Amino acid sequence: MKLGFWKILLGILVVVGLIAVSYYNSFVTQTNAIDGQWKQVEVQYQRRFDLIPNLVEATKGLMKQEQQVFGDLAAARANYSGARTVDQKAFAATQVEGALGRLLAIFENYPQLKSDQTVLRLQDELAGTENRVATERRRFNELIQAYNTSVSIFPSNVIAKLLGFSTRAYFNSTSGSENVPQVKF
Amino acid sequence: MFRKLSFSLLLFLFPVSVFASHVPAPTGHVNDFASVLTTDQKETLETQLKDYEIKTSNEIAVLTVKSLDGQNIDEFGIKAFEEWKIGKKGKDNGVLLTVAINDRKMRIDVGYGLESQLTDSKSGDIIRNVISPEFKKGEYYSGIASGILAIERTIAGISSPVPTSSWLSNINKFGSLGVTGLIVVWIFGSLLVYFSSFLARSKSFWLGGVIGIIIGIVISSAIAAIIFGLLGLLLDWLLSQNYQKLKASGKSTSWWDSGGGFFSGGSGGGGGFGGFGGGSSGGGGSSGSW
Repeated sequence: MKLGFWKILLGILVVVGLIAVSYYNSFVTQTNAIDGQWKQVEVQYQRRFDLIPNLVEATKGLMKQEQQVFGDLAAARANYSGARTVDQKAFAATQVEGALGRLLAIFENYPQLKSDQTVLRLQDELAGTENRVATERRRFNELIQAYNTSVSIFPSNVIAKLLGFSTRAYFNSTSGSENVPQVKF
Repeated sequence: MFRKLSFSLLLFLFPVSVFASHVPAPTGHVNDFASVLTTDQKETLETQLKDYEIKTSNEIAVLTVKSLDGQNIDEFGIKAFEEWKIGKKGKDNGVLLTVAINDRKMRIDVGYGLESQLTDSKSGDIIRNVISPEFKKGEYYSGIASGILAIERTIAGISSPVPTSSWLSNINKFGSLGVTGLIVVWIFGSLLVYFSSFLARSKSFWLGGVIGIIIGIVISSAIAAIIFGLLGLLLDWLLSQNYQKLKASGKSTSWWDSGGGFFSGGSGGGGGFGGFGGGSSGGGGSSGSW
């Protein structure tokens, strides 16, 4: 059983080629999963925006002196509608989050809101939406982490570099929603 | 020396996640880790939820814990939901009622498929108006039982339940391990024997490796490709050696025998609770306290 040099070389080339193809496929699969997950995040953002008008309607009358936060909310919402790129959308969404956080904090100062069933339900919907956003965003970041790991570790990083796959950015929720503002009377 | 090595290998094979805090495996629909229910109460709830699952295919789970250990109940609930995969796969029709006794917090988590019936505000209503008043009196059983009833009613309010008979749902659950599984194993086994014979006959010692890599690619993972490649290489080498040996010693090299000796069948059966159906949740639902 004699093996020619060329036969061995051909065998090695075929093996290397097949490995490269499989890496390429797994990178593409991961990238698609990340993009799909981002769409999930956007669905939840949209859900949040659809809730805002109802919330504003239900509470505006009771909170006449809080025009500032309603103005912020409207502005942030307009920003999101105007956003085109993923970065712009993420930035505008964070703005909305901040304004909503302030509004919910202000609610605490209005005991009459707490006995209003409509407002309570809207608060449930809003809290649910925030939780969904957080969940889908965490899943997005987990997918990014898995992908970034696979394009950074040996030997797949060599193939990733050759095929032009690089690491992708995490979604970082910037501060803003945590800043509960002082309420003046 | 060897023992040390094997221990480090063990650490390497079992990733850190094993040591991270996580929710214990479910023991049934009712998981009373805080022990606030009596055995009778647990059984009543379990039977009721099992019947409900058979009738509607919706899976409702109850989880009670003593303490959240500083975790947020929203995160705790979704973590349990993700690990237990409550609801049927594809339908995502699961609901999880989590109660943390010492924290006086509770949460209803809703699978994707039930979000339109059991909305966040409706689950909030159930927590506020149905469960919370009972819990305030210290009546955990009646709070949980009436909460479950309210959840079922809310879901039924809009959805038309899809009835499936009990034996059918049992077959769906265990069928993959039962008759279907046996047929699949038999077909695969036969194919594998002929495939091995082919590898044994072929002059090359590397063909198995290439085929292994292709199988790996089909499963679409680079690591699988390498592993299958190496396995295939090894298998082909062993089989080719085996074939030469059989030939040399004048033994039978029929298609059936030349691949023989490498396979042993095995299948396991499950006992007790078979787990939930593989549903997922996107974080919908509501939290509350009492």
